[in-house]
Amino acid sequence: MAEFEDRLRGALRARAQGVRPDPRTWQRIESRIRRRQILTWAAPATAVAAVAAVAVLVVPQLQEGGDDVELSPDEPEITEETDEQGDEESFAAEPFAEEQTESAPEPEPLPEGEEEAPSEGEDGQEDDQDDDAEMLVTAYLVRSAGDGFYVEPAEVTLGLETTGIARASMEALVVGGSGELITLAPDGTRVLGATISDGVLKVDMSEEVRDSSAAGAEAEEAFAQQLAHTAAQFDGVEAVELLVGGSGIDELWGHLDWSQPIEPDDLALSPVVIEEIEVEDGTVTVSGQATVYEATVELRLINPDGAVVADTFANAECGAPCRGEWEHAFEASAGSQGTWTVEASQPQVTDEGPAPFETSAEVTVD
Amino acid sequence: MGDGLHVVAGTMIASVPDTEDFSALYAAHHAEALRVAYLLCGHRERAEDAVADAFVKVWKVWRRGDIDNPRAYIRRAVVNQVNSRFRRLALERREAQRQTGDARGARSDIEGIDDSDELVAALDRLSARQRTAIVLRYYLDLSEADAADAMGVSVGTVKSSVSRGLERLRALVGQEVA
Repeated sequence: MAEFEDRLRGALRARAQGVRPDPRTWQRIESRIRRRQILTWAAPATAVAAVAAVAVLVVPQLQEGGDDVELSPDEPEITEETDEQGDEESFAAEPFAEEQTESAPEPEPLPEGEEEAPSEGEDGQEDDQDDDAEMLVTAYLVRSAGDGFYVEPAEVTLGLETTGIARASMEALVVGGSGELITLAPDGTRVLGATISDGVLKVDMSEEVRDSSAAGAEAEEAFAQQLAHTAAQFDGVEAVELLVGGSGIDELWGHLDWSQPIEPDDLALSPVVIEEIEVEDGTVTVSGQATVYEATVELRLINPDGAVVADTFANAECGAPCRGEWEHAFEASAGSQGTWTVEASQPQVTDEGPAPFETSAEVTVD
Repeated sequence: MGDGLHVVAGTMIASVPDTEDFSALYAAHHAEALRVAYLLCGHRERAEDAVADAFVKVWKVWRRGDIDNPRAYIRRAVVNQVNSRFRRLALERREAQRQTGDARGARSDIEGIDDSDELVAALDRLSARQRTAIVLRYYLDLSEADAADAMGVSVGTVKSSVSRGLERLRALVGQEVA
């Protein structure tokens, strides 16, 4: 017995001794730390006058290093975002796809550790209520790409009701999107409540959420990541716990352990996400995030006539493989009015890279 | 922190006065964290990646002054990061794609370890929980209580994980269970 254990100790130490730290790792860490402290803002003097549509973002926390702050009763707030500072981790999937100019009302404050205000329990949300009864929230939805499911943030307009914002975001997740972004929440699933305590958002859903037993493991993982990323957009929330009918669960669709809170994982995110497009003096600047292996994001600028006027690339700021931010200003001028399209893709490096992934966003030049 | 805001080309940048101190913390604990991560996942690049992610998370708490025992906290962060189920699945899927069409052909993680010691290679056949418990107990020589803290489980779970893990290792390397 002891001999075997001694042999095991020796083998582990011998194996571990062969590992030498990569001196570049600290640079990666420091870069990410610094990025978290960068408050990007569109200064009024350089405001993006030509941007036709400015997204209204839900900005959970706008202060420096916001996601480090313990949850406070007034932390998640809706901000009317025009030239507002934005937390880097609160971004829109397609922020310029449609114009959002109306004021967003203040939501009910989120009581710490308390159940959020109950709603009517409706399983749908109306998009066309009065302006003063709408709120725009961010939920993570699923994009099905060639090799699997990825999650990415999307903005969903909800009737305000009396719902707190954390619960509203989960309701947005259940409602889902249209087109390329969908939810994996089973039809008929309702959000019964949302509570935040000790860094965990506990979301209570109706029994219908169990009705995807035929879904595969990857779908269940992606649904879990929808929940986790949606929860973690709020400062102080680091994980999500799913309750069904008020009770904790051990399993849902048969593939994943739900007995412990689930944390968001960057690798669940879409490989390339366009966060922002600006047009200033005819120059189109696009930025986003990407999971990169070769640190390269391919970019194409397409004019209103459908012609590719620029075909280039941007380098994400980190090496491979990691989640990095990228930005590119097209030399080509968006000189004509109409809707311009930016396509961003992860290139397929022969025999090396992951499957190709492509996304796009539009901006309208008046 | 946040004591120096300056504007660079329309971007307001907060200076980071405390990364220097954190780099010292990193320097003191990185090697051990990396080795533990490597033993847990059997893959050098994944281990570096997980350790980097873990240290970023540690920094978020560290800068608030909320860490009493950095070594234990880092250990816990690394274990969590490496064992994130989704991370494993996603990486394995992408790793498989990286190998597709490659002359090297598909390789399992075990083969990727460059197996010179069947005992260590056999670790990869254990469940994540068993492997973690064994690495913490037999590489770091942690007490059952400290291992439980690092894993976020009970001492009883550590005991049973070690017991079952050892049993499986013996079976895998062809040694009779005592």
